[in-house]
Amino acid sequence: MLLGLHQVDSGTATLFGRSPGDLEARYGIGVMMQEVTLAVEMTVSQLVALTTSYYPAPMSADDAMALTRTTEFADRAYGKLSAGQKRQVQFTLAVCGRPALLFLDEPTVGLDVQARETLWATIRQLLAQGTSIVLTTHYLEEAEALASRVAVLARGRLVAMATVDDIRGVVSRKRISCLTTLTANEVAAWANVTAATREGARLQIVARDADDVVRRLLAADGTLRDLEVQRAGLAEAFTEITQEAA
Amino acid sequence: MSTTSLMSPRDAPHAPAPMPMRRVFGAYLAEARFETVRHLKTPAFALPFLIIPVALYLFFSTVALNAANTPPDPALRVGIRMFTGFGIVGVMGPALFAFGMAVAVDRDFGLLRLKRALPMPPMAYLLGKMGMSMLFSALVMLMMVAAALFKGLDIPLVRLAAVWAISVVGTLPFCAIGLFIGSRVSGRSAPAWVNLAYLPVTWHVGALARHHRPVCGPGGPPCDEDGLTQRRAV
Repeated sequence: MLLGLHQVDSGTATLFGRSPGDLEARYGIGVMMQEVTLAVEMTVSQLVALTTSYYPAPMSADDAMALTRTTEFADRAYGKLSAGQKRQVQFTLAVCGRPALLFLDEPTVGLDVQARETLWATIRQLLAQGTSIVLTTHYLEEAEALASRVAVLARGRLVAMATVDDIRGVVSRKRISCLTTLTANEVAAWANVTAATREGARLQIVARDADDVVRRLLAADGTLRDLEVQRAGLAEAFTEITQEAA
Repeated sequence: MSTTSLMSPRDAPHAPAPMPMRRVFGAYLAEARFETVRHLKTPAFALPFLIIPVALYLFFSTVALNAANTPPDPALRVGIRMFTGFGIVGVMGPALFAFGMAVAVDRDFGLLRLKRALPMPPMAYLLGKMGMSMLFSALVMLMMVAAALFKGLDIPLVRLAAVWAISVVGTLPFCAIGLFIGSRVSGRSAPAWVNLAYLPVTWHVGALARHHRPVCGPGGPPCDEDGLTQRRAV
């Protein structure tokens, strides 16, 4: 809707205070879509040059390709690039107009680890320079690593929107892991312990009040060592939120 | 290259501002140039549609003109008809295939959707493709004029130039047919649908069907001074 591709059913959608269909509003956005095949015959530099022509004050094509590390295949035809390189080129097209608002739909699908790290670094750089980014992703670690605010959609409805920490906070449980002589059954019977299992030498505990359980563990086993306490990740929070919404 | 050289604070992302007219014009030009280069880089398109009409004209005009030798000079009328007929076939190719089929493929591949989301000037996609089609038509018709001169077609250069110009402008209605097809069918089925328009029109202009025999004179209706009037009577 904010890209002007769909009409709203109710309410209003505005982009920089204008209708999303307004061309001047769209001068401020960059777009990377998930399902798109660019002109396979054209070189990367030709594709970037065409896209920069749409914007009032874009980067030069060379600068855009340097920013996204695509210069090395600037003269290769788009159709001859690997899937990951194609995503990098699409990212270049999204940022080359120096947009104030960037829409990225699953930007790292198909990227190898190195290319993903490069793309994340560029996204952080753009954020630091004041670009707002709407990132759609199924990789929760990506949202955890990049996002300041997270919105969770389930069945087409917004079910949560908050900072990453607040979303994690939805899940109050914490994971405790340690090397101890205490048995799983013994610990599972304690108050505030949701579950306790032994995995190899380690005892894994899921606790509602981790501080209380840790104090009791240390008191009960003087030889306890290698203690780890982990907050719930975004993935667990996501699962809990979407299950509640279902 | 340092990061700051790419996006200094002066260049930092900004709220949208109007686009200067010079850049809007540049965007239209860039789109037309992009479309032209894109199709020139596709030998499967460029070669057949640049060469085939001329090659067919040269081949059939040799065969037909040898047969059309009855007075009052039907060979000239058949020659003109073949020149204009194959000229129409020549301008149809870019308009139906490079325009119409490309629209269908761009829709399938999500490219059109991306361009709609990007701030591409609203008419740039269509005007760019129209410009590309007319440029290809101009090239095809230049080759047709050269072939006509080579075959010794005895009409004034001014009239040849007029036919060239009319044919180039005449690309546009075929662009409309191409757009109609391209905006309604999928990329996979587009070649079949485009051929469904292309082949009957090719037949209709008489390029392939009627050139092998004179259309007036012995065995047919009487010839008058205007071969095209007779042509309509047939």
